[in-house]
Amino acid sequence: MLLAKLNASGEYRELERKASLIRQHVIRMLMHAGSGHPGGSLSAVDILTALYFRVMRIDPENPQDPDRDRFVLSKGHAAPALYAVLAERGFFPVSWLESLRRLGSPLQGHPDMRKVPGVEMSTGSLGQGLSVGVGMALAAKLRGSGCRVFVLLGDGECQEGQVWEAAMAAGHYRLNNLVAIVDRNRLQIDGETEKVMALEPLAAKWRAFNWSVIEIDGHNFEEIVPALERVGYAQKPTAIIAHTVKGKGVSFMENQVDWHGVAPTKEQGLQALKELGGR
Amino acid sequence: MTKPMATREGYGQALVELGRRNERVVVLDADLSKSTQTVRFAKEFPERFFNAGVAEANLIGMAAGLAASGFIPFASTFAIFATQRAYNQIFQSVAYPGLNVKIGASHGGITVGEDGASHQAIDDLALMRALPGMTVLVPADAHEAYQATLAAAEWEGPVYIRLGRPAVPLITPPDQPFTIGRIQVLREGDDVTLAACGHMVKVALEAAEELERRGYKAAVLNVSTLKPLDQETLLHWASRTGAVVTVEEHSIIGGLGSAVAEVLSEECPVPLIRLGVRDTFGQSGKPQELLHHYGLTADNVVEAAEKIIKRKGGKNGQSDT
Amino acid sequence: MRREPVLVGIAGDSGAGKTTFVRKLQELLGPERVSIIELDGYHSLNRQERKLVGITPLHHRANNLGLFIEHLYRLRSGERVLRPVYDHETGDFGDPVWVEPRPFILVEGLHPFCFKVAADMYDLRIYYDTHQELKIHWKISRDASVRGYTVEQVVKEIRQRQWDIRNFVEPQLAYTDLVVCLYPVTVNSSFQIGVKVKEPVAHSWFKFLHQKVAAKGLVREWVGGREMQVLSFEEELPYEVAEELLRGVGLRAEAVLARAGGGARVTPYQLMLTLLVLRLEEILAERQEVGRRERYAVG
Repeated sequence: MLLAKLNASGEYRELERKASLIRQHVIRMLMHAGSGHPGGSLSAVDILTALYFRVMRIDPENPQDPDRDRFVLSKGHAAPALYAVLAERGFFPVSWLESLRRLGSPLQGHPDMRKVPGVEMSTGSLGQGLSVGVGMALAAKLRGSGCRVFVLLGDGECQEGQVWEAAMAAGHYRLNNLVAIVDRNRLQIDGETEKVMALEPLAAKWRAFNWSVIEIDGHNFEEIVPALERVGYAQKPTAIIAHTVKGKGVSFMENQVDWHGVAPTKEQGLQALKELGGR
Repeated sequence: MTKPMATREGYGQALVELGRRNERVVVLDADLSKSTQTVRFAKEFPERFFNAGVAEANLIGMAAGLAASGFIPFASTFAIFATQRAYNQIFQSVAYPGLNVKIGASHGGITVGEDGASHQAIDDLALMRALPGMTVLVPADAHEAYQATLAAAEWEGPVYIRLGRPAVPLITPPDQPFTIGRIQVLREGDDVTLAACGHMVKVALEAAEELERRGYKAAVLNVSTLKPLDQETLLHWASRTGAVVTVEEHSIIGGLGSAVAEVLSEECPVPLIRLGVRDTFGQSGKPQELLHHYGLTADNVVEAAEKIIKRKGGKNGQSDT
Repeated sequence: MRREPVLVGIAGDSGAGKTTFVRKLQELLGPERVSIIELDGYHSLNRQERKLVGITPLHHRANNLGLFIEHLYRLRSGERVLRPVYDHETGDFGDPVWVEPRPFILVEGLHPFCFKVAADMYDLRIYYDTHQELKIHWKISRDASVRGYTVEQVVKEIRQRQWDIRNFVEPQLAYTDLVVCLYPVTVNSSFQIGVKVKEPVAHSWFKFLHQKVAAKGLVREWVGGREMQVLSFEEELPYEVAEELLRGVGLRAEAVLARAGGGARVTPYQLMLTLLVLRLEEILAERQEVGRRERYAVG
């Protein structure tokens, strides 16, 4: 009992369990709502779990602490995953999750910072979150705060010109307190990113904008956590290209572009929950 | 009399004053700091000045991030770029979350002059007015611009301040505090209401003097807050005079004329003439030449006023025989 | 036969009260059974050099963590080590001293288990997390009288450390067995120190106490990637009540409690110290039991 030593598989076991619970929430929410984006929500779950349950310094009891770490979900359509994480982390009751996308619900189809505790920025229109992150990182420097700013972008989203305006500014101002994570699931609404509008060489692009770049497996906590925790060593902003699988965790959704913006039927949802270890 | 001065200069001076008063005030620009006059702030408070380069979308996004962290950012560039190049950014990242971002947009209207249509904002007020929760200010001179900027810093929520390029005569007192949401009645009169904003307020005043010489008394309203519109004052003068002429250095679609028409048609339908850019683009030329070309001089206002007074059936309170 | 000492790591920001805490533990466990390692001795740069390079002592690079890990390894194997010494007065290094592998080795500093290879060597990893208000209060009452610091200066200095703390000290929370939080509790306009003890739910030593103490219900919280059980002590207890509480859960605490508390009332801090000493004694006893069994097995 007393000599509980750490080991490679054990360190992240709780995070893995939590991630699987979050995925179950996502499926249930979308089933209830009858619409939404399962693919890009499921691909981002592990990154969000690592951020909110391990890396970020945040306190649900004190959500306005000026020195809290910030997270901006630039790919706002992954809102279900963010909501599930925030609820599990204690920012609002888990019972809210059922109300996703309903009239009058705080849980809008895309995140609304005025309605949901813990949401740092209203997003949805792609390409804007990184600019906001740059502003937040500048604000932290100005205030002498030790807070760090994490922004999650979709890979298709990187086709927006504003992303690169923001990337240029972050490199220019040497914002080492800013981390951009690209959810590189290689699919966008109209198909494969490389066919719709090629992004590669993606790492080289970020590097060319004076960012420090790390490529990881976005579903492996042994790679996600060290990459996120490396921010303190960098002398420039950090871009993490997280290779992920769209629809991760549900066999019939994985790598299927058709699951970008379609909610599962009841039967499909139950099948998905079974695969995720729920009921 | 004091020398004419551009409204952007009043804005630039106010920013410096704000910088001294409040360390939460920060200023951003997109490579036009000399033109927008934010350069004054940049010189005095370099650590609180951020240049976004030629990147307006990012300019607005950065301002939103600073506002979300408790700062009061003033983001500046030309009106046409601030509104058109970053409209969705202002919608999504500023207006929708209700963030405390102030957009100080200089070079509004056709008096930009020689640069031509590509640089003349004639629909910026229409665009900003359509955004829920956006406050839209159009100061008439440098004094008012100075005071409006101070008031904007105190106001909680997004504000758009339209500023101009050319030096214009000073018509408001230097130390009169600006109240957001209130129309200034510069002249009282019973025959016609001249409602103007920005540079056109001076034009309306000149027109009112000429009308007086011709035997008409015109009320002149300085609508320096286009949104939220001071309906009470507007309706009072519209019903008292029974005729309204609006004058703006903007398209007649969506700006002051539209705002006034919307209120009058619902609450107090009286004859109305809207003077402004008539659904066309600007062009190169000297500011005065352009005002003349687009029908925005005192003579044009007098002509419109006489026409509308006739249409409503003559002067108030006495017969026309 | 050489016996492995019990290795305890105490991580936390400077000014959090670690040194006092370690001294108290030493006193309660018996000074002859305890060796202390102050990690500040392993700074790789003196104050002047740090200024030249432009880094704070909180950065990993400002510390000779390689030598430190070597020393941990040797101490755990029962060897003595020659530990470097850093003098806070001069900001420079003094003469090194020998550290004996006594039954308890208490290692305190900014980064005692910042790397997994170090973390794995401890029997108990404690993160000492003192509320900022309390840190400011202590620093002012200590420094203001001597050097005339203002509150603003102290707050500014604490803020300047925040970035490095977040990136180099706080990540150790992920390897922590026990988080000790001291925080100010206001009682009738004077304040006293409350104590929160957080432990991973997966292996909680204090769990037998939770039912007893947690009148407000069990509080759980996520810390560094694991869910933790939170136990709060806010009020002073009469000595008898404290003793009965501990006896009620099967702890024979009289002797330690008497030494820790002394007076008629036991503060939350003293109660926490008592529990920790009992826990460390239990670890040692278990270690010796294992040792005996191994000897029989060999014999």
